[in-house]
Amino acid sequence: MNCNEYKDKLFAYVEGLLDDSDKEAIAAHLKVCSACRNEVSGTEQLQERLVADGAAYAESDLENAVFDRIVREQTFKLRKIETANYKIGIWRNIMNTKVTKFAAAAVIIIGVVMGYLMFRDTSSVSWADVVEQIRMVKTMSYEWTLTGVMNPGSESEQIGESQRGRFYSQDPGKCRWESLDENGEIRQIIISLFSGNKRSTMVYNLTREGKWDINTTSGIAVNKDELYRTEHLWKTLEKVTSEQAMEIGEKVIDGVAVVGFMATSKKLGLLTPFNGTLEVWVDQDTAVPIQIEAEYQDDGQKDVFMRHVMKNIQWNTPLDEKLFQLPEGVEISERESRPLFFTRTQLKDNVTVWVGPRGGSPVVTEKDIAKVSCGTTSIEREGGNERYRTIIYFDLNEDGEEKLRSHTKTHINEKLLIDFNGEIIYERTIKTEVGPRFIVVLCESEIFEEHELSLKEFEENYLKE
Amino acid sequence: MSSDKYYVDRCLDGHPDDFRHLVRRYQKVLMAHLVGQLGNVNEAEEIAQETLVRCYFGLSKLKKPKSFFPWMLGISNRVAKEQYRNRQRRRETLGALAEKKPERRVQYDYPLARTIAQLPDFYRELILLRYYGDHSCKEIAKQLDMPLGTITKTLSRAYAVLREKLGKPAGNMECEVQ
Repeated sequence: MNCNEYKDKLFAYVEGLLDDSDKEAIAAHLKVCSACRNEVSGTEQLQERLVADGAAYAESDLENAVFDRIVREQTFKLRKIETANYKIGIWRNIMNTKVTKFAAAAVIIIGVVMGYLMFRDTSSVSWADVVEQIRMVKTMSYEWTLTGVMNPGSESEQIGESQRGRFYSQDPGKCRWESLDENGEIRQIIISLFSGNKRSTMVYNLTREGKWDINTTSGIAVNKDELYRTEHLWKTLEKVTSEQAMEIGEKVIDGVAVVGFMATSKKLGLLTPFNGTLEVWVDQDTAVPIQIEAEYQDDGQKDVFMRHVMKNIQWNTPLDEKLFQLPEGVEISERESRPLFFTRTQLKDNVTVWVGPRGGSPVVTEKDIAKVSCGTTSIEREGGNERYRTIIYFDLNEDGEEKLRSHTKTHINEKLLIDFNGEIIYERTIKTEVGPRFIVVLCESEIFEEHELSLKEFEENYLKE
Repeated sequence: MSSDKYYVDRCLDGHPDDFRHLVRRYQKVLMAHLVGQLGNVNEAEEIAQETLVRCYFGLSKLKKPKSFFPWMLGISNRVAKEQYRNRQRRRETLGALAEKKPERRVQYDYPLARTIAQLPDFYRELILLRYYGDHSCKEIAKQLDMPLGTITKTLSRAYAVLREKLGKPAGNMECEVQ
C-alpha cells in the first residue's frame, strides 16, 4: 500500500471499522509516517469534538413537549369544528332523529362515528359530510367477529375462538343479530323491535336437536353478552372528549381509501371496565364508516381482551322486511317512565346509607351524598301483566364520587351491598354509571312486592328541605 | 433497531404512539441541525418542536417512508425560514422589546454546529446521524441502504471539509517515510 491508499482507510481506522490485517498494516504505517499520524490525530480531535458536542444535546427532550402539542392542536381543531356544528344545530338534529332509537348495537356505529369524526383534521372528508350521511341512514348491516384475546400485543398472546355473525338494522327501531357457527350456519337470532316506548326482544337458539328454542322478553336487552358489550362500548364513547382521540391516517380497505380515528383507554381516562382501543375507518369519498375495530377488556377478567371487528358495513342497502318479523302471537310490551323531581333534596338527619362490599368497610355513606333530586317509576306492560320499578337517584359530592370511582376502578364487576336506612338492602354491580350519581332501586315488583313505595312517600319519609 | 419506514408505517397503520420512537431517534440530530443554522438553542428548540408536530400531522403525505430523515430536515428548514420572517416582523413592531429567554448552561459548540450547517446536504446528514443521532456507520449504511464503504468514504470527505472550514488545515499529505 502506498500512502494515498492508507489515507483512504484512515477514517475507517479511527472509526474501528477495519479488519485485523488492515488495522495492523495501518498501525505499522503510522509508526513510520508522520503525515498520516497527523491526519489520524486531526481526525481523532475532530471526532472527539463532535462526540462531545453530540453529548451536549443529550439533554434535548422534545418528546413530551411534542406530544403535548400534538394533543393540543388536535383539541384546538376539534373545538373549531364543534363550535361550528353547534352553531348550525347539527348536533341537536342528530339527537332528535329516529337514528337514536336504533338498538344499542346499531347505535354504537353512529356513536362511534359521532364520537370520532368530530376529531377530524382537515382532509377530504369533512365532519358535516359525515353528519349528513348519518342523518340519512335508514338501513345498515355489517359482519362482526368477536374474539377473546389473552395478553394482547405481548409474546404470550393467545387468541381464543371467534364468534361471528351478521347484524342488520332498519330505521325506525328494528334490528337483528345473527350468530353463526363454524360452518357459517345460523345458530342464534336475536330480533329487537323498538317503537316509541314499546320494545320487544326475541331470542331464537338452535338446540342440539336442531329445533329453534324461542325466548321473548321486553324492556331489557336479553342477550347480555352481545348487547351489553356493544351498549357499553357506546356509552364509553359518549365520554370520549376531544383531547382523547387521534386521527391515525389513511389506508385502503377492500379497495376503498379510508381515514381512521383511534382512541385508547389510557388517553381516554375511561372508567372501568372499559379498557382498550377503538378504531373507526371511514370512506374518504362517501364519509361513511367501512370498518370498526375495538379491543377492550373483558368484564371481570383483566388479562382477557375482546377483539370486536365490524366490517363490510353497508349503509342504506334495502333489507328484507322478513328479517325483522315477529313470530305470530308475540305481543310487543309497553314501557312507561314517570320521573318526579323532589322539592326537598336533603336526606333527613337520621337516615343512613351504606354502600360497600359485603363484610367490608363502606365505600360511600350518607355523608357523601350531596342531594337526592329525583326518582322515576317505570311501568312495563306485557300480555296483561304489569311490572313496576322505582329508582331513586343519589347525587354524590366530589369526595363520594372520587371514592366510588376509584373503588369500582380497582374492583371490576364486584357486587356492592347497598343498604338504604336498614330498610332496603340488596347487592348489585356498580358499573360505568359511576358518575356523580348512583342509583338505589327502591322497589321492583318482582323483588320488593311487599315494600312497594311511591316516590311521593319516599320524599315525605326520608327527605328534608 | 427498527427502520424509520417501520415506524412511519406503524403510525399510519393506527399506532400514533410509535411516533415517539422517531422523536427519540431524531431529536438530537434535529436540534444540532437547527442550532447550526440559527446559533441559538432556544430558537432551535421551538423550531424543532414545530417541525416534529408538522411531521406528525403530515406523515400521510410522506411519499417514501424511508426518507423520513431528509424529509424532516426539509420541513425544519421551512419552519426556520417562517419563524425567521415572523421574528423579523415582530422585531420591527416591538423594537428592542423582543423576548429573550436565558441561554442554557450546557456548552454547545456553536462554531462546529455552524460549520456543519454549511456542509453539502449529504455530508451534513451523515455527520448529524453519526454524531448527533448516535448511529454507527453500519447502522447508517443499513438505514440509507448504501454500502458501508460509501458511508465511510463520504464521512471521511466530510471530515476533511469540516477540518478545512474550521481553520485546521488537513495537514501535509505528502508521504514522509522515516
